Amino acid sequence: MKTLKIVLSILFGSMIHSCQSIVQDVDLPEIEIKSVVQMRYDKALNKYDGSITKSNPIFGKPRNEFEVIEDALVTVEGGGLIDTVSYDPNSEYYTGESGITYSVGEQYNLNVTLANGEILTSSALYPNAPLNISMTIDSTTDGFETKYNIKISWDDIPGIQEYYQVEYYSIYDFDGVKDTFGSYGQVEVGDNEKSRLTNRFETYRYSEPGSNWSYQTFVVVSGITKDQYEYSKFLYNYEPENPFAEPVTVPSNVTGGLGMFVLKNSVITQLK
Amino acid sequence: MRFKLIIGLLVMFLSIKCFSQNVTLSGFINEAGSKEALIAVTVYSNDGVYGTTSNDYGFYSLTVPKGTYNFVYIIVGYEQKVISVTLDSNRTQNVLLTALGTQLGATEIDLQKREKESEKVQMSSVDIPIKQIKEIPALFGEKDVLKVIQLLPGVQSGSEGQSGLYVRGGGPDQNLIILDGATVYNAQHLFGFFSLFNGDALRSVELIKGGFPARYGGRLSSVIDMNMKDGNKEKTTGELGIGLISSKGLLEGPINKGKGSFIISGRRTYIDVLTQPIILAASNGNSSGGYFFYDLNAKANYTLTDKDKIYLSGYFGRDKFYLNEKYTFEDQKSEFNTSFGWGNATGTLRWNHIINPKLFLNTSLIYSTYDLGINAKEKEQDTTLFELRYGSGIRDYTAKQDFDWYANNKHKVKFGYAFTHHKFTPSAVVLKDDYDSSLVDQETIFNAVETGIYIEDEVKFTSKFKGLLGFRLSSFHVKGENYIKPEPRIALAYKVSTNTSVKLSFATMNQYIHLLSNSGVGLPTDLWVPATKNVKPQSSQQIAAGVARDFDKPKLTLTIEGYYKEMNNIIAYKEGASFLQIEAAVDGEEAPENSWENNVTNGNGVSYGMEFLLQKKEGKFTGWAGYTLSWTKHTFDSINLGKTFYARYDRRHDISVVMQYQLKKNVTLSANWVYGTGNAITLPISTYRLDDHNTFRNQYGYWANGQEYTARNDFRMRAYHRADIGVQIKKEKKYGTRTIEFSAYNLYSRQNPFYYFIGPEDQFEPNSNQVLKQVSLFPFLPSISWSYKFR
Repeated sequence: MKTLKIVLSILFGSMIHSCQSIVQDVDLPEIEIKSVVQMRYDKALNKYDGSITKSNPIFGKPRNEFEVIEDALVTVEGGGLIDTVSYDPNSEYYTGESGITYSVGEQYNLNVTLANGEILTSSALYPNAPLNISMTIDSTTDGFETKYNIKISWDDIPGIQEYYQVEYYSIYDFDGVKDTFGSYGQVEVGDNEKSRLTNRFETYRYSEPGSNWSYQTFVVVSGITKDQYEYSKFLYNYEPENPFAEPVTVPSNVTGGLGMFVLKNSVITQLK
Repeated sequence: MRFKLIIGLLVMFLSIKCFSQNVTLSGFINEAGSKEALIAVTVYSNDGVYGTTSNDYGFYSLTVPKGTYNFVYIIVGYEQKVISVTLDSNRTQNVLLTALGTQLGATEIDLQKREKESEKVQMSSVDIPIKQIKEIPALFGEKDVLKVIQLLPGVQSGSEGQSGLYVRGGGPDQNLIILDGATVYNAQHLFGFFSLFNGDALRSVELIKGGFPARYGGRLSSVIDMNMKDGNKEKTTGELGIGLISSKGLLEGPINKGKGSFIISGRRTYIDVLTQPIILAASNGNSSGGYFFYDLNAKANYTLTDKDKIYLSGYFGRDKFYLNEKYTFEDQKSEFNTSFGWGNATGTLRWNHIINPKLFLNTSLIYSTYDLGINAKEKEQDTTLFELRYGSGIRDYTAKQDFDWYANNKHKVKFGYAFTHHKFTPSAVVLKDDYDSSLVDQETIFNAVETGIYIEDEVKFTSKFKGLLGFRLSSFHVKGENYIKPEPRIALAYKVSTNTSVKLSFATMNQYIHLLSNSGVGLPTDLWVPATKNVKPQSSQQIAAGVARDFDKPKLTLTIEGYYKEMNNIIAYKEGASFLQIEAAVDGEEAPENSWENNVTNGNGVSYGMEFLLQKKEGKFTGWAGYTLSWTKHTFDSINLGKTFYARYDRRHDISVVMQYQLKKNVTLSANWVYGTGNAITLPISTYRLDDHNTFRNQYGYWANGQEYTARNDFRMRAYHRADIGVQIKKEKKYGTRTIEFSAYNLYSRQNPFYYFIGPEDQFEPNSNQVLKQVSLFPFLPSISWSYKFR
């Protein structure tokens, strides 16, 4: 009986011995820490907005934050002019207004030089703005909540492959407390023919008697670059936690590192 | 009408050919005792000039000049029979062959072909002896046909314990798995850890990896053709088996005094029965759940006349997970029931008719279906609050006729046609939600028609030079789109010496259905979808060359083959897409943005390599050793920046050694060892910041972590290797033979990788280093099984 117990213990121990283990006998790939540039210019705001950070290797000490590069020289060149975009320590963004007059179809070049001499570059063509934007709004009220169904239409430009993004966001103020909610920027692709493109979204406003609610709702329809279209589509479908999804190469148009340089030609409308 | 006329004329022509100076000897060859049909028995005149082999139904036909002959009927495992006949007119000669030895140790008789490899024109094919399938040690002792096929060169398994097949660089969807003529779409139980086929009810299993005969079509990479036993025509008998996770039974016997026979075989797992009391006890009786699968094979045949036989056979199998929970809160009773099930069903009605001694016709009506269902229901008191039903599947109806025309001593011709109606249901969703009164009821259906017409001629150019020349014309019609594709096939064999031949083959294949899979492990959620206007059919061209040599002492067979295969229009999910995002499409309408058509991308693949197989099929010591050296690469415009990458199942080296040794009359030892290069996977290497670039960052800022990966499949997992052993001990009992088997899977408990992930080195330490970890599934697993075969 004792022998049987020993045999069974060995068998059982062997069967359950860790099914999870550290892989040690294969060579891990060499990992290069890369600089990441995310930079955007939007004509409607006449403003640059972006960040420069470092990637974190996946192995080794866990890091929740990305190292922010504060002392990079960031310039955008086009139309014979150069903008320098400087770092704002409060927001930890590179930001600033542009002195360049952006023209549709012209190429604009981003140049980032780090203190260690590393150079990252990118370029983009300035896109068309959406034409003849119109909106229809239907609303239904249920108790204290009013739902708005908003349909946005605009003209596509014939003969040119155009890409668009539609965003909306609302700022509410409840007794002095402000907050924001809105949509993930949905992207659309033109059909290369003259036709009306449409996009729909739903929002709501809450109004309870006796309480003080106020809302500002904005709709932004932008002409965007193809790179941004691909990137935004990627973000829309990005499910890093989905075990069934194949690994994805994140779109990047930055040479010498990672990231995305986007130019947007937006039309911003505030809903009443 | 025109078609009937052509067939009529053809039959008339073939019949007229019989009225020549030659006479034809024909008939059926069966096993003495059970009367099971014997496939591929070699029949030849003793001068060696005339010869043929029996077909899948045991029918043979041999046309010779008038005269007196001694005909030899020979097949391995049976006593050779010589019959002297004087032929001055056509003659029917049915033959019974007696199995070699009926005593212990020889009760399992192979009913399969045993033609010498060097005699065969067909290359890249292997017949798997059912006896060996039953002796090879298996996971939990569950005998598994597909896992034995994985042990052959040119065939790789996907991951640890999986029964998916990757043949010469093709995916699991590129295998045509046929059971009694019916296509089986998902041949896996328990997410691929077991296959549908345990071998008990099977008569023959043949794997073809290249040089495909024209009678097969519809898949790129392999054909696995399985036939069920007919059943014992002489007496009623049976078999019972009890294993660690399942039990099985088989019953066979005669119908109407041997005019027909039947066989029924079933298997069911009982993990759920064993775990149920534990779940109930742990939940105070509020929860029940479990998993089980079952299979049922049944077949009956009946001889109507000397020229007519009918067969009815079917398979039905299902997997099911279920979980039922009950809650009571303040006298409110709530229930939540969920289940997840999938299964196959096939049915085949066949009619054999001997039109004349040279012309054999088989007419088949076939039904095949695979479906997946997910159900969830929440009830409060007796009111349904929420109900979800999700389903996907494919259903086929097929009609086909296959003719075997034994034209003369130089030509053995097969021709026929098949017509299949496919109904694809990639998704069907019914969602009722009483919380917000919503109801979703969507079903995506595609109807398609696939046809194939073929002719193949096994031609003997000279006594040393043979060929199998074939042509298939396939077509596919779906949503107003028509594809018609010619498929030339050619195989040549030249005998350079008595026991050695060199072989060459070329085959073009087309595949009109795709399996959408992004798990790489063959989940039942993978979707079968048709080729459409946007997603073109897959096609392949494969060329193979090799040498086959049969050795007399010891009796060994060596085959060495090289192959090169190109695959076009293979599909994959676009980067980042998954079945979870698939949006329903309506038949006849444009596909929506997130339909499966818009989430897949077409590409090309190439696979090439060398395969070595040394087999010993006879004697006390049997088995084989196989080695494959291969490369498989894919290129997709929109994956990996358009650069070519290795397929996940690319495997540079693959070795398998399978051995059985009959130690005593009643004791058989078995062992196998496998080795394979690790799977190619894509590994994350760094994380970095992603901004969404929305216009109002200040008001609605957002950024997420992106992952940077190695190039697609640029990282190799650890190599896979494993050894299994087993011993079968038989004992004669009063009513039959009892067999007890002890086996051990993964003898030296190798931790083979199932999947990799990044995790903390010490999971209880928050700042522990992130390291690469692997999950392994099956360490050393002993098992025991018992079976009893009634006499």
